[in-house]
Amino acid sequence: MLIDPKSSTPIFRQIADQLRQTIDANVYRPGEMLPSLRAMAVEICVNPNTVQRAYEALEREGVVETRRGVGIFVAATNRDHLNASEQRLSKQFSTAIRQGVKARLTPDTVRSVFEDSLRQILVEVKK
Amino acid sequence: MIMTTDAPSVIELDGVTKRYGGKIACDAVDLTVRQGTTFGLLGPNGAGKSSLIRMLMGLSPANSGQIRLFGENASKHSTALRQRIGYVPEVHCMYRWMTVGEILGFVSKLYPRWDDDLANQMLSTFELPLTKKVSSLSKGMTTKLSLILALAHTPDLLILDEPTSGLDPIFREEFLESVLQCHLCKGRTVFFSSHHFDDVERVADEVGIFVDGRFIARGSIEDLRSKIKRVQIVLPDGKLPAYIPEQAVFQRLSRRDWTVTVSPFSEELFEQLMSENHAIGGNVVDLSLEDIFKDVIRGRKRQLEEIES
Amino acid sequence: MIWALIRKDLSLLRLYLRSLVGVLIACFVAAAILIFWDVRDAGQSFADSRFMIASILAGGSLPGLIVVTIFSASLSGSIITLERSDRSSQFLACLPPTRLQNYLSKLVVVTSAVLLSLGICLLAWFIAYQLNHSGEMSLGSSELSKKFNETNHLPIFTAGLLRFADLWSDATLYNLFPLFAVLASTTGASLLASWGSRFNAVPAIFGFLTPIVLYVAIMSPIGLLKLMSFEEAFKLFSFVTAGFGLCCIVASGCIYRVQREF
Repeated sequence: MLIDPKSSTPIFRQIADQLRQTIDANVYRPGEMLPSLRAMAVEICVNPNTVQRAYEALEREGVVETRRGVGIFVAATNRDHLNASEQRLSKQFSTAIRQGVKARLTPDTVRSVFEDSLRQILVEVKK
Repeated sequence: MIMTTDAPSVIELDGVTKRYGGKIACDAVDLTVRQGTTFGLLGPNGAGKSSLIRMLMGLSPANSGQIRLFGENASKHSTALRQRIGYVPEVHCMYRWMTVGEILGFVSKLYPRWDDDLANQMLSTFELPLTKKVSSLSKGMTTKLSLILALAHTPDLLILDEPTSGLDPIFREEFLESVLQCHLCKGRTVFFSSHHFDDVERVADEVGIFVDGRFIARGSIEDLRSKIKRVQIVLPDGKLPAYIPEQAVFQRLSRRDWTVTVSPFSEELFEQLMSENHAIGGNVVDLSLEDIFKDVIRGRKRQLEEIES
Repeated sequence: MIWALIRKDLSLLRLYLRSLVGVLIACFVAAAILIFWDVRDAGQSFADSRFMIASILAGGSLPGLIVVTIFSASLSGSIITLERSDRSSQFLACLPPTRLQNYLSKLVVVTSAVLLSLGICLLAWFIAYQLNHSGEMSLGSSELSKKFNETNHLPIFTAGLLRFADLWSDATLYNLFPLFAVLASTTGASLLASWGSRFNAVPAIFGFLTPIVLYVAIMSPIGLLKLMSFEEAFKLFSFVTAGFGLCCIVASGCIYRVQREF
């Protein structure tokens, strides 16, 4: 990780952005534990308070989550952490759901429509 | 880990003044450093940084004012207080005739909290041979030995006086890593003076720019960077700057390009500068800590020159 | 903590302490060589080894006392100034021990070294005396002269040394007091003189000259004006010298305590 102390971006922001990039590049998978605050601070030679701010920023953005007493983990629910085909599917779902919301369908209706379709397709695939 | 404002104060300076003959090294200095903070002391050479650090260490007394360490009056500098502080001086004066092993053996008996495992771990990380005499160590090795002596007794406060001066980049990184690993990551306090701005930006929570015995800028690095910015303005032909704000710290004019560093910065100030100087163009530049330091020092120098003339 | 300081101060003076031991040994060796030469020259084979050993021990302890005096000035003059000359006193000033603890450690090291080497010389002197007066033939130097007169050759040097060994019979703590007084003054004056100095030669010379100066200063006016007998004057000299030495030790301790190394 390359930190440029002279850049106008605050150091904690640089750390957060570069961490995010490594997560997107699948260096850390969803559900995996990130290096501890102290280990990270020592490795990149930065004040641990700054590393903590970076981790906190990533947590606010939903990229990571803290599990008390255990460590910091890559969040499993972030769309950016999906692989290529998952992302495509996610995009298709978003389009379909948006249309449903526009047609004023309730979330429960959308959900039951989805589940019906999923059940039907699974039955077809089994055959 | 992030220090809050209710953390106990480790260093307290209250109106501290120090004079050497006619020269004032510290002029009624007030400062509070709380536990868990890393405070970076910046300033030009001869500004009084070393005398401030010496007063913290109890090596020279203040002429007036009070210095408190861990809430205790520091003028006595009792043995118990000394055993809580680790000090790495700028010039190393260790017993040159001792070997590395001998000096570690000697110093370890002086501190009840000496951690042998930590000392050995640092020795192997730094690859310092036990049988080598201190006089035959290079500057980098001597500094590292000095750091082991300061950190191995697990002090609550670490004071460093220009610790990485004269060290090559690899040594500097190893030095900082050790400080981070063995000290900072345990919630302890650091007070250091340095000219290496990269190191300061990475490691310090708070910095203070110390000039002529006084703090002329102080706060977290982010605060300073948001407060002190440089405005670049392109002036119309043949015109000199008509309006120089009182927030101007330093300015330079080159043809039509006028740069003025201001503190405190605000958008309104920028607009005012643009309009009142009939600027053709202008933009705001974020400054690095080093640029802030240089402009503040140059501005003050020029101020003093103008007063004298 | 004080043991660590004492070990450090012993290490600091290792060169000086080794020289002290070396020179003392050399005194005895030189005495042995001179005695062998003296006795051989007198054409005698000195059958009784008792007298050889006694004279060697006496011959070593006499210059040994002077060597101890010189070294007491040298050790005290160096123990503070050596640290100041390479600025390791600044390093020590940043460490936990107080200035008083540092000074006491130095005082202990110097005093122990001086007393120990003094003790060795006195012991050698004592053994010389005992050897000279033991056995069926208890030979005082007069009887020794008689023995050698039979052969018309007298090892003067050796005889003189045995005479010196005999003086031990008068040696009591009271009579040895002037010796202690002189050593206290050399030690104290050197320590005090190291106050302003970074070089160990100057305080050492000061220290060594102190008992001489005091002797001249006290004894000559008394002698000239015939104020009191020699014994009484000498007693006065001893007390003044001892007192002066102790005051110097205390004074240099106080100065060291408040002195700043920066």
